[in-house]
Order: sequence, then structure tokens, then C-alpha cells
Amino acid sequence: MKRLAWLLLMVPWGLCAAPVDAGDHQAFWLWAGVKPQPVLTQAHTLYLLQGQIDPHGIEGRGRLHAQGPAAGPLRAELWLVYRAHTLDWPDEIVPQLLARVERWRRHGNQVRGIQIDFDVGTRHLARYAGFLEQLRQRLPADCGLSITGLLDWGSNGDPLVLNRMGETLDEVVVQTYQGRHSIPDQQRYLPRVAQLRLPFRIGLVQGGQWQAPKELESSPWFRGYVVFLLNP
Amino acid sequence: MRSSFPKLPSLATTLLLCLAGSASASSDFGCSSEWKVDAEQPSLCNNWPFLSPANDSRVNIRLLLDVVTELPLSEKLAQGDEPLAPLVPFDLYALHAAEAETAAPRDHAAELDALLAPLDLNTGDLALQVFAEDEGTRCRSNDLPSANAFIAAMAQDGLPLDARRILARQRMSLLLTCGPGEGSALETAELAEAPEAAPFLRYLKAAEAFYQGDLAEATDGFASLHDSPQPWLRETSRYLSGRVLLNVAQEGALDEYGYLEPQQVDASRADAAVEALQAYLIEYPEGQYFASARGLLRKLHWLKLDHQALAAEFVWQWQQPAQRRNRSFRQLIDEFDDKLLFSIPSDQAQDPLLLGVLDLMALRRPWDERERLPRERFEQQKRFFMEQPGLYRYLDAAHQFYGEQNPAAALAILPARPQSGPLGTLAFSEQTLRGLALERLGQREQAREHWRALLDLSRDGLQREQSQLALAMNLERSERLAEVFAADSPIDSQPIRLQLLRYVAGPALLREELRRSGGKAREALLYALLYKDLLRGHYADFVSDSAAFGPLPADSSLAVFAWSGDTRGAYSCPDLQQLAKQLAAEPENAGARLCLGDWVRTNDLRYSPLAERPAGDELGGSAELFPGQGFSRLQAYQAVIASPDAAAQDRAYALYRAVYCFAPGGNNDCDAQEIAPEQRKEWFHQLKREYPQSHWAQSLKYYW
Repeated sequence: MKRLAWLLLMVPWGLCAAPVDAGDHQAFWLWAGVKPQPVLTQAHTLYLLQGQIDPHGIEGRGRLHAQGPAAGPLRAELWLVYRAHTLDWPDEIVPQLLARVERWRRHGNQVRGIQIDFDVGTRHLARYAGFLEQLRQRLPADCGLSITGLLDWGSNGDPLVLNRMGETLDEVVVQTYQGRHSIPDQQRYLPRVAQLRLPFRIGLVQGGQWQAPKELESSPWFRGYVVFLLNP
Repeated sequence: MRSSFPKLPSLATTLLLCLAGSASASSDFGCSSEWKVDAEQPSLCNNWPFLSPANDSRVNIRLLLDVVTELPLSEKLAQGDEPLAPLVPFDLYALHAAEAETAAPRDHAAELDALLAPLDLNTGDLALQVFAEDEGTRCRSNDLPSANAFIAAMAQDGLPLDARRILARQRMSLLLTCGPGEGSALETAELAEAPEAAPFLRYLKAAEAFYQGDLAEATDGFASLHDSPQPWLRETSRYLSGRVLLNVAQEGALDEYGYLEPQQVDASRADAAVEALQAYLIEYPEGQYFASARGLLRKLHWLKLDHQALAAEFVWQWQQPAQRRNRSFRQLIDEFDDKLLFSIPSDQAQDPLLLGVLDLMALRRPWDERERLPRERFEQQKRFFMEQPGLYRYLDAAHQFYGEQNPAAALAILPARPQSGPLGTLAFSEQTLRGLALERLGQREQAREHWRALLDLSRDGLQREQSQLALAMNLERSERLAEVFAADSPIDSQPIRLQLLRYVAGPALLREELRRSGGKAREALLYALLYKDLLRGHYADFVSDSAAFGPLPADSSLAVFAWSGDTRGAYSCPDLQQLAKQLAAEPENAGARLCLGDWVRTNDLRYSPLAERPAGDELGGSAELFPGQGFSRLQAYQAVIASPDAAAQDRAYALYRAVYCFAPGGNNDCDAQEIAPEQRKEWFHQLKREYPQSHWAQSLKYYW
């Protein structure tokens, strides 16, 4: 039922957008439970899910659950991705993140840093920004910090709060999908994304829909696409 | 994660949740609560203490554990201190936090220091490997407790002090080894003088090979100690031989991205590992590695895709005390969910708990992509429920209720309400479903009596909370709201009472309850009263209520009602008290209405929790008894724009604000009206045309 509704919504806009073919891209998210595909051999950059921070811990504080592959030699440069369901992180979490970065590096990989995937509404962005600043201070200089961003950030609050996070963040990857599907009215939000003044990428979902507005790809801050791989 | 997209762990975003805001967010995750009992759509955020298809599969596993082994949910879950958040339904993480199994922390470093003292050694600035929970690597056991056990075993054995010192140093330097080429070469020359040290040295060499990944050498090394007269070496090497075999079996079975390729598992080595570990378990039923060895059997069954054996291992684990298990129940539930529930072919499931979780998932709607469970396939399961006939009967009734949407048939299957309580999870589930069936059949009075009786039969805080929620919803929908607040009302749940007061109650009841309340509850009620006084047009009441129930502390949510207006900006507004008095005298005054709009705008009241009504099928979702039309900013602007008598500065400001309702993305941020872009354009031009010299015309550059 719901699936059908999404499809219907997608039709008018889908006429001018093209399906996302992972084969056209060089950067991918590899999530837990997603079977690796041959296209990964052409990856320049891999965003590997490495865990989840859930409010499971003592008194409901955060606890890191590792996920994803153990360290081994991979050819691409890596971002180690952590989903956060809470920002209440006890002290032990950052050393756990860094130990894993170190293990990947010991296998000869180029690890760019850590990416945080946290779904936060526009209204709580300022608090998230504060959290990220503190996290940045606890990471060594050679460990980058990336976040995933939502398309609607700024659509009803401070429009470009992200631009003030340029010193904290090495990049933001703006997701244009929800679940397995591209967000139907993504075009509406994209002009705002083009106004970002920090390195950004656009996150696409494999098999989803995408049409790049010109001003987006011509932004000097645009760093390309990341495709979220799905099981067929 | 086991909700919308069962195969993908909660992908990317909960965008819609975020956009919708959350009336009762209790965590960063932004849970949006569904205040109801009759639910069919799963989410992490909403779980009930009865077996419901809408529960996250992990909650149903937990509830079924209570059904099959009597393990009630923690009472802590029913002791929330957030008066605006429901206790039922509860979110998954609240359950996890309430049931966190916390072992008393042990200071392994201090223990090691005590062992090292006689050797004139100390831990110094010992570096250790850091792992997160669930980070899979054999190096996890290369830790302080293992080092301590090794050093303690040497001490028991009366080894010469010098040899012990050398070996202890070696063991400590091994702590950082994890992977090929890591670690320091073992110094063996100095040990030649002490032949008794040889077996310990062999152990260290084998352990180093193991952590480095040289499994062939580790195999030989540990095998050479199997018959050691030294008891610790004998036991430890036998256990580790099983682990080495497991590592051999899976070598090459995980691809470079960590994905299991089952056909690459070395099945004969896996069988050998199972055999070795089982032999260890038989020989050492009280062994120090018992829990670990038993736990590793699950890993091997998983590698072999032996779902039946894996399911059986879980059945065993559920019945064990903590020290016999290698993981907490919460971790085991996660593992069951992740490694068994979604991989076992449905015709292989035989365990009642497993079948129960799967059957309930098949009754979800409308998201679940799994095949519905056809009636005849369900009936074929009956033979597996010989020891749990009650559970089968419940699933049968649930199948009728949720699957066939036939509440009458469900009623015919469900047992009558027991005369006395307290009820276990299964009986409580049966009686909950009975109540829901009565509600769906429109037998509201019988349902009401049923919920009252169920409240008396409830076992614990969660069951009571759910029974109260069902009863409160019934009373709300029977237009008997006053009974909820009567002196003899059985509904004493603060969140439930507050929900009804904030969203349904009229002003008289609201004031009466306000007089009787304190703390956060009083703050929430006063907020609701003043909010509605102002935005439903009861301006004089606002003045008297804020005087009667004030003060309005600046560090509370009530501070919005102490708004001091705006006397410095381009459009001047008095403070909120003055404004309310002005509106009481002259409700349609253009300037005053524009200022009320500014109060709403500058305080973000469009996003106040009260701006959104609960859904029609939720507590608080019935018609509101507080009279008056809600204030809309855009309508106020439209009225001023349409009024020829309005002063120029008011109309100019109204036009400016009306255009700005659509900044910056074209969405109406002021109310729910659909306004065509041509109209917005017209407002923009009207402002430029009629009031070109105004501050407002000059500061407006775009329309949206």
C-alpha cells in the first residue's frame, strides 16, 4: 500500500530524473546486512558501517555496538560510519572508535576518519552542532569528521546552520533518500544544498532517482556522490 | 530495525518523524509515541506489554521469554519520571536500559599488580587493546583476565621465580598482539635453565601464534599441552584448541567486507570444532571457559547454517543463570533477532518461542513485505506447541483478530477472564486481545467493564498502565471524561491524565486539576491553559488565569507567557498582558492581532506540542472540549489585508508577514492553508505598489 503511494508520488518528477546506477559511481556506503557487490571493486571511497551507538547502557547512556567487517586490507580510502541513536556518549566510546581506526590503519588502509549518522530534526541542529564540536576536540588531527545530513535541514529553521560547522566538519553527505527510496520532492530542497559552504557530497540510494541541478554540481564545495548500496 | 525494512538495519533517516516533531520525545532519537493499545504497525518507539504484532520483534522475544520461562519485564520500566511521555507504549531502548545487566566491575589491573608484586614487576603504563561490544575478533580474549590466569597458574605450580618473571613479562607484552607479525619475539634462551617452564613457554608460543593468526602453529602448540599434568594448561589448551578449529573453519568464509559466504565454511573443521568444544564441556562442566565454549557453539551452528541447532542453543541459553551464559539476555535477544529470526526458513522453525515471534511478525500491516501466514500453514504448526498449548491458542486468536480482521472469531477462541490475578504475560495478552475485540465489535460498555476488571488483575506496573490506557480511551470515546478524574477513578497514571487534560479537557476541568497538581505536571497544565486562553480567543481569561496561577518562571516553558513584547523593532508590540487586555476589549483590533501573530512567530509556537492534535485513534484524539477557534497567523494577516479600515502600517506589515509565511522554501509555515504562488506574488506586489515607502516594502526582496 504505502510502497504504491511512494511510486505514484514519484511519477511526475521521475520523468525527468534518471535511475541511480551504482556502476557510474566510485563512493559507496556498505551497511550491515548488505551483501557486497562487484561494483565495490571500483570504489575510491568506502563508507563502512562499523557500529551503532544506542541508549542501551547504564542509566540509558550510550553504548557502542560494533557492526560491519573487522579490519583487513581494502583498496579504497575509508570512512568508518557510526549510527547514533543518542548523543549521550560516555567517555569510553571515543577511544573505542579510535582503536578501530587504528586497527584499519595497521592493515595498510587509508582511513579518512569517522562519519556520524544521526537523524536529527532541524530544531535540534544547534545541539547536534555542539556535540560535534566536542567530538572534534577529542579526535586527533589525522582523523577526519564527516556527518550525514538530511535534505530538509534548514527548510524551516536556520537555513545554513551547517555552514557554521565548516571548522568542525571535514564534509557532510546529504541523503536524498528515505528507506529504500529517493525522497520524491528532493528537487525542492536541492537549491538550498547548493548553498553549502563546506565540502559536501550527495548521498543517493542504489536504484533510486536522481537528477542533478546544475548549480549543485558546479558548486566549488561539491565533492561528488556516495551511493547507498542495497540488496537486490 | 525489525520494523519497516526488515532486511536493512534502520536505514538512513526518520525524516518524517523529525518533520512531524514529537510531542513527547524522551530521547535524542525523537520517539513519537502512539497512545493506544490496538496497533498493527511496528516501530522501535512503541511497544506494549502484551504479545502484539506491532511490537519490535525483540520485545516479543522478551515477552515470550516470560511466557516460556517466567521472566517478567523489569519493574523499572514502569517507573518513568517524564510526566508527558507514556509508560505504555514504551520504546525498545527504555526496555534495554531498564534491564541492563551490570556485573560489579572488577579491577583486573589491580589484581595483576598483586600477582606481579612477588616477581618485582608491575603493570606500569600497560597498554591494552580496546574493543567495542560485539566487535568480532579472537583477540578479545587477549586481555587482562587471561594474563592474570596465566600468571596465577605459574605461581601455583612452584616455578622458579626467575622463570616466572620472564614468562610473566612475556605474557604482558603479548597483550598488544593481534594480527600477523605483531608482538615481540619470545626470549627463550634464558629459560633453558628451568625445564619446568617449558610447558608454559609452549603455551605462550601457541597463544602468540593464535593471536597472530598462525593457526597451524597454534593447533600444534595447544595439542601438545592437552595431556599436561599442569591443570590450568591442560584445561586452557583443550578449550583453545576448539577455538583454533573454529577459526580455521571460518578462515576464508568471511569476505573482505565481512560478509559470510557459507559455501566457503570448512564444514569438517566446523564439525571438529563443535566436537572439541563439546568434549571440553563434558570434561569441564564447571570449567572456567564453560560459558564461552557453550557460546561458541552458536557461532559454529550459524557458520554451518544449522538453524535447528542454533535455535536449540538459544532454548538452552534462556534457561541459564548469568554465569552460565556468555552474554546478557539483551545481547542474546539481539543475536537471536539478527542471526536466527531473519535467516531461518519458515518451515524449519519448530521452537514455540521462535514460531511465536515469526507468527506475530506475519500479522503486521501494512508494511511487512513477508508473505502473510496462510491459515493452513499456521495450523500445521500446532504440533510444535504441545508444551505451550496456551500460546498456540493465543496465536490462533491473534491470527483471527489481526490477520483475518475478525474480532468475533477471536473472541470465540480466547478464554474467559480469570476470576483472580495476577496475570502472567500470556493471560494478560489473552485478556488484552479480548478487550480489543470487544472494542472493535462496538461493545463499548462490556469493553469498559473488561478493562476495569483487567486493571484489578494486572500483575505489574506495565500491565496496569496499559489497562488504564485502554480504560481511559474507552471513557474518552464514551464521552465520560469526567469519570477519569472522579474521586474514585482507578486511573491514576499521571501521563494518561495529563494527555487527556492537555488535549481534550475544557477550561473548568483544566483549572480544577491545575489547583491539585504540582511540579512538572502543573507546569504542563498551566502551559495548556494559558496557551488555549490566548489562542482560542479567551483573552480576559488569560489575564485572570495568569494572575491566579502565576508566577511564570523565566527558566520554564511558561516563560513564553511572560513575553515582553517588542518596543525596539520596526513594528512595536506591548507585553503579553497588555496585549491580552487590548484584545479582550477589542478582539478584532488589527494591530493587536498582528502582535499576537508576532508572539506566536517569535516563540515558535507553531511547533508547540499543543499545535498538533493526537491522531483520532489515540488517547486525547477525540473532540476537544475547550471552546474557541484556533488562532492562525496567516488568517490574521489575511483579515488585516482585506480590511480597508486598517492603518497603512498595519496592512503593510500584514502583507510582509503573509509573504514571509512561505520563506524560505515555499512551505506555509503559518498555518495549513494552501495558497497559490500567484497569490503570494500578488501580496508581494501589493506591498510594493501600495506602500512603496514603507520599511516593509523596502526590506522585502523576494517572495516564495
